[in-house]
Amino acid sequence: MTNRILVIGEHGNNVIRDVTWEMVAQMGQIADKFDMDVQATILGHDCEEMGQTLSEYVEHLYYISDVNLSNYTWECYLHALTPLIDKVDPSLIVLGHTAMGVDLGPRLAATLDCSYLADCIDFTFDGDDLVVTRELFGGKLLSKLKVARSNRYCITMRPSGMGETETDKRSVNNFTEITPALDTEGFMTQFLDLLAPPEGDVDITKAEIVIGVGRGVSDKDKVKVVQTLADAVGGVMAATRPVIDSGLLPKERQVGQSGKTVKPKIYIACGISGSSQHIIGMKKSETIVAINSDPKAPIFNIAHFGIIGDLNEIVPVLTSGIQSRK
Amino acid sequence: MEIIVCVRQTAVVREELEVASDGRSVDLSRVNQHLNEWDSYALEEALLLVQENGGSVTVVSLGPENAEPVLFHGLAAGAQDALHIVSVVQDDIDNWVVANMLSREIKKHPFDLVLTGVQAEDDGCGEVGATIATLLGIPHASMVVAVECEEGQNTLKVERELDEGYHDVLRISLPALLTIQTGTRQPRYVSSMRLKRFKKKAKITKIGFEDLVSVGETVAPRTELIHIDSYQPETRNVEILEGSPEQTVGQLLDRLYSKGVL
Repeated sequence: MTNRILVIGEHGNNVIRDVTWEMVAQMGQIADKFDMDVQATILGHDCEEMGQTLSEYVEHLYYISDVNLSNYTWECYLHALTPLIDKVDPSLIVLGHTAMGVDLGPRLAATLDCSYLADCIDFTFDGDDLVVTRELFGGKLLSKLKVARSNRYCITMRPSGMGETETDKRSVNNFTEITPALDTEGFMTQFLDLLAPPEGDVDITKAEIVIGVGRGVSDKDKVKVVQTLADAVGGVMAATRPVIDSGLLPKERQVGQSGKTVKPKIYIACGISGSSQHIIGMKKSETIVAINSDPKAPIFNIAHFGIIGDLNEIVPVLTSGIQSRK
Repeated sequence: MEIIVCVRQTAVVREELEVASDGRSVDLSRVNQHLNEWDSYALEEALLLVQENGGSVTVVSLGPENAEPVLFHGLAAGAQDALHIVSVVQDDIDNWVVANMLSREIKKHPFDLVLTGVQAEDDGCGEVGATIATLLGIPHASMVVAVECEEGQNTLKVERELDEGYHDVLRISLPALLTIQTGTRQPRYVSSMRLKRFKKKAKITKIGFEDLVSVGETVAPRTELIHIDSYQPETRNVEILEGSPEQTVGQLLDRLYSKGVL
């Protein structure tokens, strides 16, 4: 095993994404603890500035520049990354558990013929063994896994899972630009278009009070009950992915990894179990209230106040309580 | 279009889940199991694609003998064939082994498209789809929310879900593997009567691990589950309010007003 870690950085809209900083910070701690080196790479076109910024926080930053990397496809990324991985020879390759990591991680690991573990929330080395912690059943259970000993491991790290985003600058400032001149002739996937998120009548990211609804709100009548609460408290309604999928609320109301991130003064989660994908989108709310019938629901892991019970009973009482105190 | 859909049986997440006495598995003895939600969307997408473009759908699952119901479900929903790679308790299985075995079976059949769900409800890894694609040497696209066949070309146009509300559109050449996201094309309802009828008469092709590996060859898992715990994060600092709905709501409002957030 070499002592090198390679972080595959992500960026979007010309900024380095939070998950990249989280990976760099977390890997910095692992590197200090196990006497390793953190190197990182950014792939794209016209992103030199981002690469330079990131290079101050790692031992070495490789910026892979190519016009075909302007938009992500696993195929272009894979062709750009494999020569770099041969050169750096990292024993640990780290991606974010994001749309990109989910798409690229298993492909990269299987191509390199190395072990892969997804959506890790914690990990450590035990000798040469990699031991990782991850959630099962949407956060109801935690599992600890040992990865079969090998020369290389590839993992995806849960965004915001470890909370560490502050990181020290490293002393060395090493920046290398690589121009692979990718030949995409014969490639099996071709990027066509990037579609921006839909805009609706309400911007839930601007609201001070957000009432989130999950699977517990399963029909129009229940939506009305929660809407009455939202009206009483002067808030807006938002929802988890399953509620959006079922068509009860429009897409622009979706909170979570594939939707919007909200940071209101109060987030009231009604009938939301708290999948990691949803939590990413609301955990930075100042005060989180959770109403759920399942006392083991992961939403209670991040809530400040919890009421265990049927939201059809609780929500009307809450609505009238707010109205009577006005 | 010949489509193979990989499906799996999982415990229903909303069930009360307990760690088994071995400390490294989930006690499934009293838990309802069903077709993994993401896989049900993959199955639906396959059935619709065949309705629109002709062809047939084959469902394949790797799992223990009692995982048969998901294959009957596939047949009752409209799939033409069902393949069951039967695992036994002694088999040491992780996602790598699953992907490896599935790819070996898939290779034996003609196909244009392989569909899987984005991930399974239990482990949420999302590893198997792209791994199968790599082993088959075909392209993949993950988190697909829309598929369009391109007339006269051996390609598909697929729309994928990205982070923060963005989507992208790709052209992908066939044969290909897509992992299907839950979404707008709701899986069709299969009545219990219909399911019962299929359980009586439908045929499932059984395959053993030994049929997929050569003599002396083993496909070793790459990860070992050490133990499973109930989730009790050290940082859990929620105040659970107790009492009747009136009491809990009263306490909640007292706290929210005194914090000045309301």
